[in-house]
Amino acid sequence: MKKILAVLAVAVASVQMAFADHDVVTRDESRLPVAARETIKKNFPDAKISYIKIEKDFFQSANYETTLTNGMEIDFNSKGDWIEVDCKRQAVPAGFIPATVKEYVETNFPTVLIVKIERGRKGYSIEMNNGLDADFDTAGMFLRLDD
Amino acid sequence: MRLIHYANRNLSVLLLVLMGVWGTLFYFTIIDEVMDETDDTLENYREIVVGKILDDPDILMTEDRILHSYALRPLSLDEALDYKVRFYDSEVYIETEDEYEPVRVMRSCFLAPDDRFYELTLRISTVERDDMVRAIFWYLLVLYVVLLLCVTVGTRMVLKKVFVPLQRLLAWFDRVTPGKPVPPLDNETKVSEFAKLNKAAAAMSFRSQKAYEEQKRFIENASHELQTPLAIARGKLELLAESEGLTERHLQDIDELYRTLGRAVKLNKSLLLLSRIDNGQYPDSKPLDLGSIAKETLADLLDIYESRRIQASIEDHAPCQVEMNESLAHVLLTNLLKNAIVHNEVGGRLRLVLGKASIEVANSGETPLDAEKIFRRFYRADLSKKESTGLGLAIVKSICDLYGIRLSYACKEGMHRFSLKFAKP
Repeated sequence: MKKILAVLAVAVASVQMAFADHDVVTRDESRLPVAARETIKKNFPDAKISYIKIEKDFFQSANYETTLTNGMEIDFNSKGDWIEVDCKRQAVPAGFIPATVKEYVETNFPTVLIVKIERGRKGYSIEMNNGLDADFDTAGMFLRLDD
Repeated sequence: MRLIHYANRNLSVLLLVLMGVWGTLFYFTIIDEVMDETDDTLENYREIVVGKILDDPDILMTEDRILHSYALRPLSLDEALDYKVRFYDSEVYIETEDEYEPVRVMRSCFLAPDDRFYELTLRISTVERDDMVRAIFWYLLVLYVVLLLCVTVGTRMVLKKVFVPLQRLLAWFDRVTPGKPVPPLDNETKVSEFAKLNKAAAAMSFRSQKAYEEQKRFIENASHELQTPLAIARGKLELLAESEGLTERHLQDIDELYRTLGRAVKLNKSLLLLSRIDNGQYPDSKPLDLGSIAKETLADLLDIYESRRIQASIEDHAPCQVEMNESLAHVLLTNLLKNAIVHNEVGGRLRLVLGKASIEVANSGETPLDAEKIFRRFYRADLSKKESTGLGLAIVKSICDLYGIRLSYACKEGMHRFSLKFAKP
């Protein structure tokens, strides 16, 4: 009986550990990976970090959502590579946009700004200030357009 | 404790514990998840509020005073440096309702566009959450009780059905009586264990029945076969006693031998009678007045055993009408009364009490006899009496068993009392 109880207690504890991990909200820049800090410094030289939200999943790999005082949001993975840049209504700094994507937008929508860019395993995805979304593959080649 | 109750109780206890543990675990996991959900909502809420502020720093100057759901406070740099996000439960006074309401609070810190740190306090009412938690608790409790009841009743029904062949077999065992034909065992079952048990029980009963029959037949045959040689031996002894040239001593020996043989003949007759009673070889019966038979028998016996100077008394309360075989009735009363005379003290008392459905024979005697043993075959309390076969009371018992007469012995007020109680017609 004691053994069974012990096993149950361990099971409960591990379930609690897996679920109970709150996201961490901090303003401490030093908790960001170095690569992420350098990316911010390079692309937003004047910006200050308002807060950083660190999301930890089951496997303890972190996701850093960094919000700047001007409202822009840059997400990094645990290695410090950016995965999303959301500049709300302003243009995403050119350093984040692959050349082919930039070329596509300039050709097809010459007056439009790219306000958001995501980078994932399948490729890139951008959002423009005319409300249109566009998807590109990992090489930056155009795939589709959504509204 | 019946098998079904025993099994059902053990199963129920096991389920009670297992389901209790499971239910408790489930409850706490769910509650944990619900609580976490509130905190997640607060985090999302915070993101929206901070996003709005960063977008439009003018909001910093205002405060949501209507719902009191968020509050801003400028922080000094020192405070901001080691600021930690906190979640906690609290209460908030609601003016419109004039009561306190439970809330979940989140405090966090962010850097505003004006380069100052602010603390953002967010509140969310947990009244609904608490209601839900309570509902979950009660639902789980009711579910637990109902499930437990269903399972207990269900297992009981299943067990009852499973053990039907066993019950039937046990009922059949009750009907099996030694000396009577084995009743047919009608107990169809698909369960191989029960089928085997049925087979074994039936086989065993038939075997013991057969052994019983054989034993009975053996006693009867042996007694029967012994009759002739015993009679011949006694005849030869009589002839021998009449032959010439015998000394006094020889005659004494012959007399001794003759009497011993006489005892063997008596024993043999008694055994034969016993086995005949047990075999039901006295089928014809008629209504008899046992009272008058008893009185006649007693008078005859008193004549025979005059030398014992027994003081007999008869209490005749009512005529005792019983339906039974006439010769067995004579044997029964003769044995009882003779027993009361032969095993009495010389000059002792004998009392015969006749009731409507009972007869009691009492004789003087101080030492109680062993009620367990006196009706056994060949049991003799007093081994010095050579004429006694030790079968008299055994015969009485056999006759009583045959007719369902209750035979009992007691020793009270210096009398050995043997009483017969007849079943009322």
